[in-house]
Amino acid sequence: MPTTWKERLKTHMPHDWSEEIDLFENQMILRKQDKLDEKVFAETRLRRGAYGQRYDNGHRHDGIKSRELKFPTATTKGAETEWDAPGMQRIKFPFGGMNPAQLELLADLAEEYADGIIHVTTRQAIQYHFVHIEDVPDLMRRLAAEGITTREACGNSVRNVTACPLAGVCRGEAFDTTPYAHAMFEYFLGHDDVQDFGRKFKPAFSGCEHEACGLVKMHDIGYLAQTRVIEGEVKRGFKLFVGGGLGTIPQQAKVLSDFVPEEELLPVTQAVCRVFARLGEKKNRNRARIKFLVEQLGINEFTRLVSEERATIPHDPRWLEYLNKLDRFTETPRIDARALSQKPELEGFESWFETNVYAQKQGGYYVVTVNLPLGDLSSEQAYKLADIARAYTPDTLRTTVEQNIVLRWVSEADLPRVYFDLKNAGLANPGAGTIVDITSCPGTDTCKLGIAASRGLAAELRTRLAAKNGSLDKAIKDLRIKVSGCFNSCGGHHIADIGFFGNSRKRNNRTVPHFQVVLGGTRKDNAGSYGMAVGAIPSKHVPDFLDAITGRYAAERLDGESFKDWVNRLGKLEIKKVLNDYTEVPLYETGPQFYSDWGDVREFSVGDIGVGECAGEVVSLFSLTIAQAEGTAFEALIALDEKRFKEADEKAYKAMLQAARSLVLSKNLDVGEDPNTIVSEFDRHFIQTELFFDKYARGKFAQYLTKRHEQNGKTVSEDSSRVLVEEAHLFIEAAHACDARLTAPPQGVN
Amino acid sequence: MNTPQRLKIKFFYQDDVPAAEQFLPLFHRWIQEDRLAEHLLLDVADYKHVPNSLATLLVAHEADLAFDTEGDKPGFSYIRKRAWPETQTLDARLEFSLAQALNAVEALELEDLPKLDLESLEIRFLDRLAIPDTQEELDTVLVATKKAVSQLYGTHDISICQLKEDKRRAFGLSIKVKRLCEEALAA
Repeated sequence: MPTTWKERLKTHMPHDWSEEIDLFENQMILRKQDKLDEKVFAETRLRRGAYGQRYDNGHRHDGIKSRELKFPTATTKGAETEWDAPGMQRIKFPFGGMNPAQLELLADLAEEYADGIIHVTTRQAIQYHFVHIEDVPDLMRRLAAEGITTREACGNSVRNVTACPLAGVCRGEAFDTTPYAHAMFEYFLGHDDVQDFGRKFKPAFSGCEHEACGLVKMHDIGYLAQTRVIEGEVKRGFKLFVGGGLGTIPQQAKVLSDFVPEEELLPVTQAVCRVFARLGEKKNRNRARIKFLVEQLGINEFTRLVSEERATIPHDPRWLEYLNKLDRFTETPRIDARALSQKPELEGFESWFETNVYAQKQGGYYVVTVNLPLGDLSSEQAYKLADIARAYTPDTLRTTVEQNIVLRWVSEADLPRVYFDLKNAGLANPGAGTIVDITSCPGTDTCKLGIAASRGLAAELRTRLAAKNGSLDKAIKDLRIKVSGCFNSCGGHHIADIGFFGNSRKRNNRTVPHFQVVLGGTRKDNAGSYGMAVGAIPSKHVPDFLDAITGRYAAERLDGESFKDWVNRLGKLEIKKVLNDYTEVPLYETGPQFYSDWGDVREFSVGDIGVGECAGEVVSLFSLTIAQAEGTAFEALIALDEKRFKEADEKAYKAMLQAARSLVLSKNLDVGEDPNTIVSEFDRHFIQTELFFDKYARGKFAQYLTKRHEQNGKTVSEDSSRVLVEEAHLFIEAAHACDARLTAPPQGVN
Repeated sequence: MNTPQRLKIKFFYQDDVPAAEQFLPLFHRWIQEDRLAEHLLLDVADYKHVPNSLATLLVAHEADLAFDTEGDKPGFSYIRKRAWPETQTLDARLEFSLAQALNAVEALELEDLPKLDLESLEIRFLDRLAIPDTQEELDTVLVATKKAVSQLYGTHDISICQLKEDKRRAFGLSIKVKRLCEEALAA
């Protein structure tokens, strides 16, 4: 019987994913031995989705005093980040798509490595919290065996590719964007052109223009499906947006092209990535998102640069290959569509049907939204949901940016049974897409940057609103609330009718949790406009303020007037008057509850705010790629110790190739992975130029690689492999020295 | 069989069940008071909005403690995750986890909350690599569990059966201690 997951799943994982995880595990060992710089390791783990979590600097305020958390392991996994401190693991789900087997695996992993909770994020990914770094490699292996990756789920690279969860079944879409979103994910995963960004890069796909759909206008890059008749033929393509984003300074994306034909989708995106990598800000992380580059250059100049870049990119067959397999994502219903013969007499069915069920364009089929409070579901619920998906759908589940999960292709006649089964699993909460369906980022629960308890507030509002859901005016029910724990807008407060983001105020000599109120954002039209901050109120006043503002809207709105239009008509002064009724903070002695946050009984403190890892670490491309070479060289060493000489030889050779490639990338980004090309490019740029040459050893270290490359396929002995492993380590050292020489400031410059 | 890396021990409430909300201030206070010896208490997580979950969780480096609404009956769970004793055997891990779980229960019993039924418990191996695959392995687990429970409860009058439920769930045992020796438990 296998005694490790690595052994058990060896043949179940894609080979390159498996190697990637082994490499990460070796980098962990190197970090623990202090042979890998903490910043490089931090970015390495972030690019594998392993994020830090609140209190990982080893301090936590317990409500009375700040306590030191004395973790047993002395090393760090990043700057001021304790090795043993629990972390967050993010997992990519392109377009939110998953099947029941994957959901079951998520349930297994949640209880074995996390806190039993599967959390759906506001970008259709999944997160676990309270994960120990030492558990991460096995967690990744088990995911990889089910076709799931965590690669580039965090860090400065291409993040999860999101798409409308109705793609393929939506009544208003131009066409199904699913295969395009998947192609985007596959093509850019680990791609050389997305390894040198100054910040993260978030893509999104939409099928239609006027709904919220994929929210493309708030993304770094957004694709809006379009068709055009060209020479009598209907052609598919995308309106391409760039430079959108929320964060502290929200920006609406600009149109880069009205129509990028489907054949050009990947190469044009690649050109955008190259321009961003080359010209985007690297040092000042507050201005390193692509939106700042687009703003700085202007969309016309940015478009010109992209077009120029596009012309230089060597053809890649993968740009077109997927277009021959678009039907790979076509879903076939498990059950024939049958109509519901009579209204079922199930308690709660009607209100659930009203809000949680959407009629697909395929007649007789429905999308059912499983409304998850705060995006959370337990392992036990996940097993039950997997059963429901298997029983009624063609194994099709999708997560949503509203932190819910949808079941697609449910036959109308099955809706009562689906409702019944969901109810038994505690998953039939009504109100999807209404005011009770509040999204929230993790906030102070687990985020290092959180200022106030966004989840605590969202939970409180949800409880109160759900209790009076039946009596709420329809105009109020249709509003949307989004809550962020700080100004960074991970909860998306800018695109809600009513948004809140956490901050604090000093009142009566104590720090009091507050939320800034943001009114009048729009999800429709793909996040068509952003709300405006109108003022901050104490956390504990927020529910009453919400009642007041929504009550006035219901009473004063004109026929058909949207919340945004009403807010604009009311004007800032009048809004401020409403707000002013809720700004007072009683003295601590008379209202101590105001000095604690929602869902957290500790007296409020901002002492736990740490350094966020959203921005990743700015680490040079060389540092990142050479770290891979070091990991492989370490594997070679292990193979040698375990007398697997042939493997030791191959790993040592690979490590040298990786190290050479690290240097070559600075001269030729298109070098690729082929050993012949790497060696020939290395020869051209570093041997012939003598850039790699040591002052005393001259070209000796370079010969280690060229000699082994020429001898590929020769018999390996214990001695030869031992020598090669040593040479690989020396070669890597020489690569480091070469990089240091090349990047050293000119003499006389400090 | 591999030695399990994570063990969950759950004790059940009878008719009188506390509310998840009651555990929030309690767990925060335990952190302030450093209430559990041999545990580095880290944080409190609130999942009371999730049915069938570890509804209120006290996260420590070594273990998690939770008001637990999973399954049919609510209870209190101790989930050992790491910092195991040096002896890397199943027997040692079971005995150690159970002892630590009973210590946590003892601390809980001092609080103004409904009491747990200590004569009925459940042990789950939250490690699917360590699930016993053969009858021989299953017998080994049963013997080790019985030994651990006897040792800690001071009685041999124990019945153990495998939880026959959803096959996807982690391997688990249901344990009934028939004649609970109060003095042994208190000790």
